[in-house]
Amino acid sequence: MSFLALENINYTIGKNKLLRNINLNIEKGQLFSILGPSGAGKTTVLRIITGALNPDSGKVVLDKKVINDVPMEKRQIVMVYQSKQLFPHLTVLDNIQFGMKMKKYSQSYVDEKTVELTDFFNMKLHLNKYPSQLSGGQQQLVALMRALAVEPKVLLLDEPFTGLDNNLKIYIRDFILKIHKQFNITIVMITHDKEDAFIMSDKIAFMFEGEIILTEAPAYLCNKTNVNIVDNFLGDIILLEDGKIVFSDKIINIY
Amino acid sequence: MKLLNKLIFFIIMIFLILPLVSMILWSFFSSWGTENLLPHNFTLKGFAYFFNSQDYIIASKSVVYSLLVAFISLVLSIMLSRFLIKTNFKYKIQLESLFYLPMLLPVVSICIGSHKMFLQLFSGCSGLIVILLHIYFSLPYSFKLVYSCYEIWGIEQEQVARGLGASKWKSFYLINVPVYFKGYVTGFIMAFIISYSQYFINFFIGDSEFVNFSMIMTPYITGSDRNISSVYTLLYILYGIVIMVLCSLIEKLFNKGRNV
Repeated sequence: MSFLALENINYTIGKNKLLRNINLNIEKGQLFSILGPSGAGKTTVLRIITGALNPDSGKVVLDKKVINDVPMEKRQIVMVYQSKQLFPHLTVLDNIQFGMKMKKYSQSYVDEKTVELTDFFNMKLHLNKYPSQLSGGQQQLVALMRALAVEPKVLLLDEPFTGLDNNLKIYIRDFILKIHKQFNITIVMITHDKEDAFIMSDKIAFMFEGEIILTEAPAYLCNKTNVNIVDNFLGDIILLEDGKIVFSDKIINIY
Repeated sequence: MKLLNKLIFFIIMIFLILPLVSMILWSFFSSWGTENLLPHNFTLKGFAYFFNSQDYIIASKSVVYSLLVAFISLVLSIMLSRFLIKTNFKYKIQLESLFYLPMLLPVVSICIGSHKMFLQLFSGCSGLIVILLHIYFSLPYSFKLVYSCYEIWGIEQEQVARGLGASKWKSFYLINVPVYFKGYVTGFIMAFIISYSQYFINFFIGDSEFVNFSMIMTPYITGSDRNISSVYTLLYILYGIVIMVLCSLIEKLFNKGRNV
């Protein structure tokens, strides 16, 4: 049984069927990407996992328990939004500690965890700043710190590289991989960027118009899948013998 | 461009300040002949009349009612905005448009139409009817302002807070209220102004029981005593300004030390 599973999830607004029969199985400690063009319904899937939206039908299962009726605050699933959504009236320190205080962790633990995270993210100098005083990349790091502080069972990342320049994107991407390794956390990331998905993921689900078309490991997707939508979206990818792939004339490593 | 800006500013200030200066002068003088540059015969007759006739009690009550109406309108606006921003359904825009109808409908039609129905429903409770109608007319304004905040900011921050372990209520007052407080205060002030300036509702429905400041002021303004009418208008403005200043102070105190 998977650690996080979506079983036959359907979600409709008016006559628009946003999600059709979504099935996903995500193992513990996996970095799972949902890849697809804009408007495919990727964010809606994440919002259903967090509990912000209730599906019309289907089950969300976490750690062998159906969590459809579990309120958001008790799911132990934290989402880092595309727009970061840091609390603007709180300092970086208060943002990081917010979740721990809500969960009533002891002050000594809160302090300890804050030191651990600020050291890991190298954000000590920014603790007393407000989000508006930080750069986009720093804001993204704070959003990640805030999420990790409560040690969630699953970390959801909604297009985490939007609005970042290329250097910063590579920096944050490496950081997420570092977090994944260090904290051994289950991560579900949604992206429309195939390169990000291939570089970072253990498994990729391809989503199109509210449906999961296929779920495979990146190495498998290097070959033609014979599913037109997927092959057209991915373009030509060549898998080299040393595990590297050639992608849009760039050679990249698959982790 | 700078000159044009200055000119526009100057013209606006003339239109705003000149009538006010004239009114302030009229409040303290009993005559101002056309041949005189300045008024003469200093008097505090208007102020004495206001306080001796106990109209100040009516004025104060009027402010209290309007504060109550503004508070209820604000609470309803927050609830409506949250409902609309959280849910998606087919006729959402049409429903939203319905909330703005009282801005367009003539007060007279609504009052006459609702008079009979309300009297049947709440016989003998003209106070309740007056308050309900005040809310009916002030709600669209406060709703528009509050809902605009929700449209701009969304409720994602609250959802993040909930994901981090905050309950519904805690995520509302720890995250939503500080961030939206300015919008809430603006919505409250707007609702207050609309309710405070209502004349016809109180005149038509409130009978003699629910007399408000606009009602006691109107006969003086239409009358010939410029001193008294100026005093009443000045005090009417002052009451409103005091409430607005208090609201701004509360907002400043609430957000003291916060980066909002």
